Amino acid sequence: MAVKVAQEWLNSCSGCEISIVDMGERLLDVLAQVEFVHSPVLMDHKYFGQLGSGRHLEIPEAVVGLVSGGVRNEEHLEVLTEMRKKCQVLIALGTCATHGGIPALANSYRNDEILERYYSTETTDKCEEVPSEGLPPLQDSCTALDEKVKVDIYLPGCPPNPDHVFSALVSLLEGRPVQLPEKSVCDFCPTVREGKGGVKKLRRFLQAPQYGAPGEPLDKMRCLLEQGILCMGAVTRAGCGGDAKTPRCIAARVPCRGCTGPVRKNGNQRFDMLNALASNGVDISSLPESVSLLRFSGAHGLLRPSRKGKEA
Amino acid sequence: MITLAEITDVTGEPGNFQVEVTRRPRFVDTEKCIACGLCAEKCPKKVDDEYNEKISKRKAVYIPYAQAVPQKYAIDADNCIYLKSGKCGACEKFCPAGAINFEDKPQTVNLNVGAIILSPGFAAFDPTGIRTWGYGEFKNVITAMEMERILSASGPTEGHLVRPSDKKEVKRIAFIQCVGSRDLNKSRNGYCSSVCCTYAIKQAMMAKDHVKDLEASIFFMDMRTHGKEFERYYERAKGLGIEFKRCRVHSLEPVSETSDIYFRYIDDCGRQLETQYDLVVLSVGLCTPPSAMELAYHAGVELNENRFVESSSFDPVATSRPGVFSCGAFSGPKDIPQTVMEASAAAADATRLLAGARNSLTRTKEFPPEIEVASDEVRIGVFICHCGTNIAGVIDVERLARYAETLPNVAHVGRNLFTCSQDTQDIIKNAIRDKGLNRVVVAACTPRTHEPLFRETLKSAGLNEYLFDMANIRNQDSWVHAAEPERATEKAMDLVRMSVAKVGLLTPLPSISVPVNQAALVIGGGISGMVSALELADHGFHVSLVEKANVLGGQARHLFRTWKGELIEPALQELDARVRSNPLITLHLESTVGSAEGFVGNFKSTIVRGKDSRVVEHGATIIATGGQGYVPEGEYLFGTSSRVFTAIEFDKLRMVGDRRMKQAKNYVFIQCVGSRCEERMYCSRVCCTHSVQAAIELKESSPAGEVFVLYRDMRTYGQREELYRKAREKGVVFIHYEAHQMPKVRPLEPRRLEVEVFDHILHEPLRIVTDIVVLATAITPNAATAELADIYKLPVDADGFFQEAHAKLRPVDFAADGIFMAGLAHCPKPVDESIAQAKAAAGRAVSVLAGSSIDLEATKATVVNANCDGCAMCLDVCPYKAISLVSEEEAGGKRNARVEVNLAQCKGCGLCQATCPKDGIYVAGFSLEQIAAQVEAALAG
Amino acid sequence: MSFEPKIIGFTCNWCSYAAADLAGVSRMQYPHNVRLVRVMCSGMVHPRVVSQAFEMGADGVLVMG
Repeated sequence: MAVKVAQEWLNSCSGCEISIVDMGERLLDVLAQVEFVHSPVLMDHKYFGQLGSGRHLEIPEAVVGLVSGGVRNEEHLEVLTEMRKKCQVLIALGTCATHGGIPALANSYRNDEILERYYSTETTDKCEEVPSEGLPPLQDSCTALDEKVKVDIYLPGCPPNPDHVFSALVSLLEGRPVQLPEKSVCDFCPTVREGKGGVKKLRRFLQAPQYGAPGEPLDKMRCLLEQGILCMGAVTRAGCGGDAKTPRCIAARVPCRGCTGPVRKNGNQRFDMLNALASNGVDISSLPESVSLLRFSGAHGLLRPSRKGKEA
Repeated sequence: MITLAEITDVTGEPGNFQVEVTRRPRFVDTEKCIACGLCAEKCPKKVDDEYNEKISKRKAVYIPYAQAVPQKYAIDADNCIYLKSGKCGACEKFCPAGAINFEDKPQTVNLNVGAIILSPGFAAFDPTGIRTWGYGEFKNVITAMEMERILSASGPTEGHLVRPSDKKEVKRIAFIQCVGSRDLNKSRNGYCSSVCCTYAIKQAMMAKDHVKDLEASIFFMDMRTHGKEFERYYERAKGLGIEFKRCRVHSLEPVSETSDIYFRYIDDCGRQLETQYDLVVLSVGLCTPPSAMELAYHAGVELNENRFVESSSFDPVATSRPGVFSCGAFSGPKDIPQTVMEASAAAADATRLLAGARNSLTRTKEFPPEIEVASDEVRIGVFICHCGTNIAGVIDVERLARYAETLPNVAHVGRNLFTCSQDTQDIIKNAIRDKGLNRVVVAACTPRTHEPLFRETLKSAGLNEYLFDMANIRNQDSWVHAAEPERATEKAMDLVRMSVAKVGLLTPLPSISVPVNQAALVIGGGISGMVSALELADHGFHVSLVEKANVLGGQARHLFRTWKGELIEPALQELDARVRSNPLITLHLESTVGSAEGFVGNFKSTIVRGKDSRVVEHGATIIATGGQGYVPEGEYLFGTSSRVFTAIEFDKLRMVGDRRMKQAKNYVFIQCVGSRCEERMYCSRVCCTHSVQAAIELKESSPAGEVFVLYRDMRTYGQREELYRKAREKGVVFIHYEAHQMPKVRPLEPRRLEVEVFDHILHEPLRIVTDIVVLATAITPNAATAELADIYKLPVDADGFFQEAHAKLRPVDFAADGIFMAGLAHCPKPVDESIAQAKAAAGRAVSVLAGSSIDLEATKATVVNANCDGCAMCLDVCPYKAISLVSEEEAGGKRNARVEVNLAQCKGCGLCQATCPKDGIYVAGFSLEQIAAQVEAALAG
Repeated sequence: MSFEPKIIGFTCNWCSYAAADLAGVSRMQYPHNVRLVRVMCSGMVHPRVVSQAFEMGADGVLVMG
């Protein structure tokens, strides 16, 4: 009998959903064994009954729940709570769901600051006032799923690699524990590492890193951080490269931006990175700012509005 | 260790001396004394505290100072009421350990030893009664020794800079240099004390730290900051606004109503100035105390006219009596690093005599096999020490014990009067056995003194010694919260809870021991390298000596005489012959070290000679690669005129009897060429003495000729000062110049030169016509320094010389174990000091090579393979270069990288653990989990 | 009631911990609020442990070495 799967997207960009579809032909194998009972991105399933007659938000029961996106407003919370109720196994899909993702960068500001900037400053279209009707109220901050409900499986990535989505689903179907890479991006990074002591200042990624001929294999290129380019690999969970292994950005000779979130579940990418850099004698004031080291994992209270935000 | 001892007679010969030692009574049994201090608290007799320069009081029963070894009390018989009148005895009544023994009598101890080292140190010059400075008469004139105590946080004023007369905070302070040094009028000491300039700068800088807007002036003749890094320190002091006034102060007068000190002096522009200071510090010199002269007499060692031990430059720690060695200020004024070098050198010379008997009197202790505890449930035994009344007098130990019983995993709690006593060790051992304990906490004093003892107890009970922790409820609790027993008890409960939380997480650690390859590699065949190699070979170790040139001797081949006048060449030839004929020394000429790997006890170095290379295995490494002379290209017509030479060229040409030297009449020496400048902010140490010595010889060989020495500060430090005096007597003209008014050299008629220098006495430029100009050029590091730094991963300092492990206390060691340095590779220094350092380096190497293995602490960085992915964040963070990256290929072709720790190189500092972003490495016994558990427990109360 | 802060001090075995011992030997009296954790080098204290100490309720953290 097919396993029932419910899928939801909260504060999400749909990249994670595309990642499911991106499994390619393997999707057919999966679909042979599962039945999607709810998936707003694919199916026109209404929350309050097909005719809008329901009084309560309702999602069908399922064995596996896939939720992408973090929790930004009260609607997201309501949907998430319902998903948790109806699904036996809840998977947080993508870094927004596991660590807040890009939208959690907004946690550096209070809601009124965000709304004011969005609706009232000259860089945006003029708007008389902040709309008040028909919109779900914002929460105080953008949170990851596990700050609100229990999460059973974490599948980080921005978006998660389809290989991991596939292997996670297959493992679940076969009743095996889900196995994902647990070390950092460096574990799969083929570049040459000799130590970071030579780096004194970090430079912006405006020029390409040093390497030989264009076709030169990656394992001949010096570690990007050791070239003085801020690469987040060491503090970022491996897995972006999927079965191909080589981290996606590194494969293009581009430094890791940290999209899979911290290595340890409760890690803090900004804290760990700045600490490791400072230990190595790197002048961390050469970074114009460090908030963006949490650009993928600002939930869990790691990014907060600054106290003097009011005056600023 | 025999304290309170005096040598009264020495007979016999090297290898077999009979030494008669008289041990004065301590009146305290050191076996019983626990240094609780109750005796001193109860003693009614107050005495001036000599350690605090009599600024404060101590009791008649006392420990001279906080760091004294042994930490045991002693009774001062001259002041003890009981010993003088038979009444009192308070200390005996109150001593909880029964350690007071008024019946203690002088004893004579006879020792049979093979070698003797004398290091009685120095006494500071006593300026009492000399009218010029008014010391002893004016309250606000103090000596530097008193200043040292006033600046000390643990001193009589707790580090507050207040003056003696009225305890007013000092706002203006003056230091007067050369009090009792370089002075045959007011003292008998013609020599320079060598250390006072730098210590005055240090005190002035510290004083400025204490009082922000302090005005500090140093009155001096020549600023002698000739030690390593000292010149930079001098510059820093100038930058901080400390004023340096080049003049002698002829007298001080008190200002009666304020007790300030009135000062009149003439500055270097000849102006007469007057000023007042709150406090005047006399930078007193070093001299040999009468007790040390007596020691010299009993030991049969000759002293020179300055009352220092006379020694040869080529055997700097030997004395006139074979088998008796001396080190430190006994053989002349010197600073700490030089003293420590000599100490190691004397130890090396002494152990050379004893090499045959090495390890013949050592005993090893046997321990039972270790009990396997890893998987057992945690059963903690807590032993609470009363320490007499030291702990129990403040802390409610009963309540503490009851509380400890309630803590998780605690299976046994015991209380002991003295947990460190021998019978308590048996109690602990039995408790471990009977109660099945597998972790032990001792709540007592500090692990810094007592951890080794308790670890040994665990070992003898068959428990791994690392399953142990101490709660410091004495030094850090009962002693510092004596007035708050309730709070102290609560803190003790917290401390025990913290220890229990930590000890439960400890795991047995294996003892680590590395084998030692008992051979040495000496790199550099100059005078330092040869001396090191010979010293090691004389100790019976095989040595490979690598020299890049095709001859031995290094820079010493260009030198003429030592400052004491000994000819260098014959000494060099003798060394050369001894090295070549020594069967234990393998000489590798025209060779360099191309690469190396390994660590203490187990180095493998590749020696390259042309196209050949061979690997040498060795347990210790000495680097003595020397330095080189600075080439003053383009300065003072060097390279243009055939009559401008560097000092080394000058020596050489004189030795070979060059025609220009024979015909010349007038000479000008220019000092500090390439030294003490922006690019090389250090003093080259040897050049002043060399120029002065050469000037004397020139004057002696042709008195009619004129010899000028143009200098910035004349740095004929120590007993070399006599040369300076002699040169002036002979009529050598010394002219001071400032760095911003450098002398100029112009060609004159053929074969003559004109030197122009601004004369500070005449206030106008002076032109000197001369035949020869000698440039006293700097000593610079040579290229091998950087290469070897790379090969052996060694640090170099800002000037390019090798960086020692500790500037004062470990001047011969590198931070990495098993590698030592000697000679110019460390910093500029003369022949005698190079030889002392070379012997010291050999002595330090012997301490590695003497045993066939080295036991290491198990507190080491440990890699967690499940977490480490070889991101290499920790590689360069390790100060000991103990971490390396390794990788292996997995079946699927994936490369698995991770770091590896070399246990022999790791010191367990844990910088790696504080850097790792993913818990990939931790220090055994101090993991973040264990530290966090202590923090959690501390805050749980 | 007056504020009694809880202070955690990370002290290096070779310097600051030894100094705390010496303060005891010299019988210097100081407030009881500090709890010292002995480490082999202040450099082994990961900043994470410092922030954990604050999270667990410390009012102040001293890293000495």
